[in-house]
Amino acid sequence: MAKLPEAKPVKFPETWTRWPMERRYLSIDWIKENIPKTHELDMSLGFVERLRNCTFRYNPTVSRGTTFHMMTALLNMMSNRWEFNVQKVDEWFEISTSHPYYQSITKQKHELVREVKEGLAHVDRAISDVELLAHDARRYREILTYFKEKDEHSLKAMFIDLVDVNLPEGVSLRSIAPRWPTIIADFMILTDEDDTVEKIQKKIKVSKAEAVVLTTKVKLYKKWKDFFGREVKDRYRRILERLYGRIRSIEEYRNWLRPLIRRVQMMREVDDSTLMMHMNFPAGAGMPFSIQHMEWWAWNKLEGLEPTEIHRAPKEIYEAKGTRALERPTVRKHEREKVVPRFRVEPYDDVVKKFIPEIEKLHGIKITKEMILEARRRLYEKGSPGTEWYVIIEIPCLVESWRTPAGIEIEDTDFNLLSSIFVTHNILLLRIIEMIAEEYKLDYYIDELLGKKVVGPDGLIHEIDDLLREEFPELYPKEEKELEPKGFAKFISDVKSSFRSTMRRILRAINYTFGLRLQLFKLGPYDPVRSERLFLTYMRPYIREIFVPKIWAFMLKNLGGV
Amino acid sequence: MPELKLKAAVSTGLFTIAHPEDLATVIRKVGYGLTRGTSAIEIAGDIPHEIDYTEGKEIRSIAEKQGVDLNLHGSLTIPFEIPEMVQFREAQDHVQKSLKSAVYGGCHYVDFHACLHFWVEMLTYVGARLEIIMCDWKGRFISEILYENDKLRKLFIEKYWDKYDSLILGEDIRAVYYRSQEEATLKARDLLETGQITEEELGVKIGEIHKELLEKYTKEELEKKMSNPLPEKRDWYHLGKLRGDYVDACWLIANYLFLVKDPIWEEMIKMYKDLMNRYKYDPNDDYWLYNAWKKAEDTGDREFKEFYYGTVSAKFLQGHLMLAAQWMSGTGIFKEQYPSLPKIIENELKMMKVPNFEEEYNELMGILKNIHIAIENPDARDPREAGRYMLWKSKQIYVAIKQTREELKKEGNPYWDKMMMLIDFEHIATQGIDPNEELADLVKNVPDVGKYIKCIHSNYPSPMHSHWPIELGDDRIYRLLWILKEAELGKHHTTYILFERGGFKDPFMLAVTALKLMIKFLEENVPPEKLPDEFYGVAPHGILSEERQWATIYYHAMDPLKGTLKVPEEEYTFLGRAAVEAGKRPEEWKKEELR
Repeated sequence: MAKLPEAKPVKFPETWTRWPMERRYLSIDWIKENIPKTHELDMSLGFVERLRNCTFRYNPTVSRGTTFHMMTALLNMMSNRWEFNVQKVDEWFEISTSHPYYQSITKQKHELVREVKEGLAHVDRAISDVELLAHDARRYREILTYFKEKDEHSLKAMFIDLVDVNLPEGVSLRSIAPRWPTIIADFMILTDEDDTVEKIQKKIKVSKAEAVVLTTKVKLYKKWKDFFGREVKDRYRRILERLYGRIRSIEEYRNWLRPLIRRVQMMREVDDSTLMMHMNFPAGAGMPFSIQHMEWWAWNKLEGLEPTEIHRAPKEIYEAKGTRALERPTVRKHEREKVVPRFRVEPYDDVVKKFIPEIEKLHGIKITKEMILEARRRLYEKGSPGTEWYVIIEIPCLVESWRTPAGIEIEDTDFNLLSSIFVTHNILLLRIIEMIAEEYKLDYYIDELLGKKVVGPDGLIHEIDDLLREEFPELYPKEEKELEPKGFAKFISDVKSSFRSTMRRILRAINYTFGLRLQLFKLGPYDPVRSERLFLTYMRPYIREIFVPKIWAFMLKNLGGV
Repeated sequence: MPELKLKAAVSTGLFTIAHPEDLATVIRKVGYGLTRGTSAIEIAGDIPHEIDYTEGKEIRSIAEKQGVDLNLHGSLTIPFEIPEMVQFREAQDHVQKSLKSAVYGGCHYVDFHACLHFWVEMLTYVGARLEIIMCDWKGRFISEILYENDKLRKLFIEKYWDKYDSLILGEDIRAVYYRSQEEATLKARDLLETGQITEEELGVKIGEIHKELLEKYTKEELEKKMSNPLPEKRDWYHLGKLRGDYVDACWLIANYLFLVKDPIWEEMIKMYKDLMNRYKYDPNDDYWLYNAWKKAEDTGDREFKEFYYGTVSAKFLQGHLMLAAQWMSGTGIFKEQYPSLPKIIENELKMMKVPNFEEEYNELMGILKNIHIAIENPDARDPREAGRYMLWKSKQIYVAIKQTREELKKEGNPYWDKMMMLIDFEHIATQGIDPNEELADLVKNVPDVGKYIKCIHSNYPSPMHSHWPIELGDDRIYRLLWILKEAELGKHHTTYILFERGGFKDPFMLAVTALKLMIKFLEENVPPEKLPDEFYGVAPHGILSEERQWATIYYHAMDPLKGTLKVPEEEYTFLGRAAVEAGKRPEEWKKEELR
């Protein structure tokens, strides 16, 4: 039996706030620090730059509801008019016990918890039903196989041992056997056409008495076979209908549960004094207040020349499920592109691969090839296959609202830090992978509650199959073979990657020791000459034409000063 | 086709074998038999005096209410064939007790085995007396037939004088001995004196002459004694009477029958034509049987001994049956000398002060008047002696029955036509012979043997005597019945086709059904080759019919799916749950589903 890992806390947000505020995503600065390079200015493997002019903390204090109105309008405009891809990546709120809405919010949360529990129970029942139905379906399938293969021996054995045996003593074949010891063997020899006494006596040379009994049994067997076969076919169809219905309903239950669980996770409960210690206003416990945190990421490609050449995706992309079929020559190009789009410069590179373990550690789930495939697809659809430059605007928004002793309702909004970040598309792919991981986290959480997934020894959430595969690799083989290079190809691949990393380390050591910026050859596809090309081509137009006149202006207009 | 008078019957079984509760009393035996579905029951008597008046009254009442015929299997330990006086009386006593039980029980027949022992020459101490008083078939001491028949006497004296001289003459033999010795001495001295012998030859000569004279004088004395008209004078020496020999007794009886050309003898030799030809039968040669017996002894000829002992036993059987008939009718010695059965019954009823004496007595007399005695071919109790029993061949039993009838008819005895046969297929098999062969032989010799058969114990002829229930469609048994049916079985009187129960968990199974089907097709005159499906139980209304089997198979048709499934509703289908929730009981849904 597969071993369950030792109890470890599951990595999902707890309802109690932890200060300083928990980071749910990799820090962009940390990513920048850890991109492989030969010197500090080497960005050939990936570029991350916070625009200083567009990165600041903005903290207006406004009347209650203003931030909501402003953000609603801003985000809609960004996505609809200014062609940004906007996604909310985080949200939670807390409310003090003295707040007038505390009771109703708490009650709502408890209702949600109850609904979630009921929903999980439904899902569990549905899964049990699926297992039972699958078992039944297997049994029926086995029997239908006998009919399909015309396995008369098995059918007759079933008839004798399970059906005919219910006849009284002296009537069933098994009880007659002492009188005619070979009657069962004789019955097995006969075919459906041997249904008269004369035919039977001629075929197997038995006494008339035995032949008469066998004639009756042959007729009964034929009748039973027809009836049983019809019933099994009908029931098999009904069972399959029910089975697939149940399977579908599990998905539906999960979909219904997802928003409920997200809302439960959003509603945090905390005591006033803990909250008060970290709030930035002169108030004491007993004052009704609430905190709501939201964060959005809006990203878009940067305008520029977009060459149209594109290249095939790396081999490991084709390890994802659903991609092997694309190898067939009959698959058309546009169908292939839908599933595995091609880029001019492949975003899924060694840099992304390097950071994936960090993402896994932070989010607590295993990044699968399917997630990467999905990330590439989103990047392709919402970005451009030709360009490798993007801007991500991070909009974290912490809204503290309270009622003053005078009865005025105020909210203090803290955009810390409102940032515009220039990235190459491999870093953007990383961010998209993180967003997808966060989406999957909820599903994984639900699966964990249902036992389909467990936290492994490495602290990541794994499928049960993975654990079984580890314990019994022969019995639970992987469904698709990995496209790892073997033999000489593997040797060459290993030599190449080790050569690159070795050269990188040597050059880095030389550069840092002697304060040089030596680079014998470009290690990656991205243009390292950033100051001239990047700033003039992409950054300045962005600041002048998008951020300042549109985004910043809108915020200033609606929320006021700095 | 005249209607056959066949009835299916069952036996109750014996209490002494396994002591089942069902058979602890006669009433329980009858009650047990009543539930088997036949209109006749044979009570297997554990002891000869099993049914007394009190119990018999109740049994008769049950039988009358239920409309069943009762019959009785009499004592199982009757040594009919033994030519020994004490055992003869014991046998007759068992017969009488069994007959009385049968009358009290209201039985239509009482059944006895034709013999108890195997060939007397092999008897050692198998429950038989070692010192025997030889007797004849009437229970008289053997001296009577020696007196009655000169040739037999002459033959006996010629061949057995030296064995039986002292046994018959007793102390008188001394006089014969000394006389012959004295004469021999005198004659020898005369010869010595006349110079015909020498001094040395004197002793030898005395011996020779003595031997001759002793034989001569002994034979004379034996002849004188055994032919004496006064019974007390011809009676043997008292110790000699006890020193009889079974083989010698049979020899005497057999030779008597041969010499007088007894009707049993005459009938029997007709049954063994080939044997007689082999032995060159000569009815005029008084020494024929003596020589033939000697030859059979020397060569170990089983068939001759089978004929020989069968004939003797048949005669004894006849003797016993005649005595029984006389006892039942109050004739012969039971007229004046000894009480008859009617008298005994009358005395018993009076002693018990039975209310409605007349009515009761008349009823019992009515039963007595119609009672039959059926003689059954015996089983080989010791399988080592299979085929070597005194009287087991059906044709021999037939001879005994037929001649008994003749004799009784001559006497004017009303029971002359009540003497019948009973054939047991299984017993034939235990004797080591195929019943098909035995019956074919019987029917060949007696084409109308059905006239004499009262009952057939028609179990499957297993030599192991298992009493295995008759199985449906057993055409072997049907063939055997067919053979007898062709010989007028059931044509003349009610004949019972009986199944003898054994001791299995279900001793009957489908035996009665099988028997009734056999009777039905015998009555319809259907030969064994043309038996229809109904005989095998598979006709539409039959117990093994396809329709009946289909009803059960249909009910269990989906059983291969039951039990292996985890879905609890499978017993009632998935939709059954909806039905249950709507208020139906699960059993209701189940029934509905299978409609």
